[in-house]
Amino acid sequence: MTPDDDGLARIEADDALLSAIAAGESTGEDPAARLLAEIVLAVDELAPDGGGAEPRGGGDEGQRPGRRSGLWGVTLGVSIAVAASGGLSAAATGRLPEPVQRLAADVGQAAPPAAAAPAEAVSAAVPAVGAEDPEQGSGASEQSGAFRRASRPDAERVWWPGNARLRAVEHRAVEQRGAGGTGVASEHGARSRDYPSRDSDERSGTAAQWSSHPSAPDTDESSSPASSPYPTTGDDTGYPTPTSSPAPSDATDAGDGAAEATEPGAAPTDPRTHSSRPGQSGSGSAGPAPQQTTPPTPARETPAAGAAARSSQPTGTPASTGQRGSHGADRSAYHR
Amino acid sequence: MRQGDGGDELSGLVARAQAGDPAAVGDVIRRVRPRIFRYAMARIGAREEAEDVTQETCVALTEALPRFDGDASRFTSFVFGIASNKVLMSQRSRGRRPEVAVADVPDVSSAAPGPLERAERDDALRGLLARLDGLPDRHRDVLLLRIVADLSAEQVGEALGTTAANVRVIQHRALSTLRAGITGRTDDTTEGV
Repeated sequence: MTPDDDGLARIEADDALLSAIAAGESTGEDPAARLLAEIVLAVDELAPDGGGAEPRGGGDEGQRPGRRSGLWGVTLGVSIAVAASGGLSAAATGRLPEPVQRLAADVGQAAPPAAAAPAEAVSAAVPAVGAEDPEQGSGASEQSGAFRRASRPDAERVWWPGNARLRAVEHRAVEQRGAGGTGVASEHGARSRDYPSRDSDERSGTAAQWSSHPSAPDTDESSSPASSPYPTTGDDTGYPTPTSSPAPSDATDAGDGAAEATEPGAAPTDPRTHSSRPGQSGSGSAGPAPQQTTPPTPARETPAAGAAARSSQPTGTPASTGQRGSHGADRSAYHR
Repeated sequence: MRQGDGGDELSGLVARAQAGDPAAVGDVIRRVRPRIFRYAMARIGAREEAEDVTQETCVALTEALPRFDGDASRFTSFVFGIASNKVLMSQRSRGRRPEVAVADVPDVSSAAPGPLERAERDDALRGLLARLDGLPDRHRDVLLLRIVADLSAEQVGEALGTTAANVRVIQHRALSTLRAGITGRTDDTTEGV
């Protein structure tokens, strides 16, 4: 056998070896062949039925699971609700799958007849955007409230992503309404600039930005700067620093302007974003603590915070417009 | 397809699919998809990426079906030629935009292996595939097309645009490299002991 023949024989032997590995046959003592056979076995475990006519895993292999189930569920829910409320003709109901018909019949018995109108029943079965708060509910949803509870008891407590968008829209609307000279104006003005200006007159706006920035936590004037999660100036110049202490009553404290600017029942107001904090407009020419149109009552001010506020009281003239800082003043003037 | 794979049936299906029969297109995809996934899994080692490659291959295959001209054997080569290209594209794009797949939360119960078990199996496969890292990419591709996709040397040649003889030479060299690497590793281990 020549070297060429030897080489050809080896090539043919390797070809046969690979065919044997692919067929799952014994590979002998060859370590490379054993490794390749292990790979084939591992792939077989992960993706069996390599040459079969059906996809592995009952057809789910390689597919993202359950993509269609959500929309399908909503469709089913609407069908059941409409059928249960009598909104479908007998012929249309008859075309529904039998389990759906049975379920619709059961739901129809559970729901009071007064649930009545099909549209209301649908809106009850599929919680509407903004329906997280039952007090926001319209008359229609109240009428169908029994049905809503029967179909989805926890519907009011579910956070729907759409609510966030709705809130954002409502929030902007409230701001625009309040920008005409109410207490929200300063907050609105502050938010119109995301970063503090280098203008010394506007340094006081930093506090309003912090307090009114959507990501800022609820703050309380009684909190000391030491507890602030935000960067401080590191001195006693009275730079206001929002603090991390949430204060549920804060909304009412500071909301003398903001809350009043919000029309009652117009929108779910978020105290974090609507409240302007007294004593947080900082120092400088814009004036620090007593900047609230309605000054904070002494009872709400802890002695420590009061002392801190007094000690940081600058020589600047407190702004007569309360929370309305330079930003707010500019902005409200613009709106006027 | 190789012997016993129902090549005649596949030829008929492909002909119907090319004629525009949607059911036949579905049948063709159902037939080749598992093998594409196996191959992609062996090449990539990451389930999510292999699924993406499989899907992209199937889409490309559906679009390219009208242009295919040949029998069932050539069709398999045609399919894995597309798959091989998709794997390469995926690896290139992965280099450009590294991504980390997160597990989907299944909406339905499943009898399939749980996430932990799947992760363990994936790790085991990756560990084995790592031992092929010393091979040139083309050599690795040839070996995996031969043993995982179960293609013949001729089919691999068609898929990769080369001859069967060249494929045989490549696989021989790949095996020699593997043997040398494993033996060297074993020797190193023995010397270490």
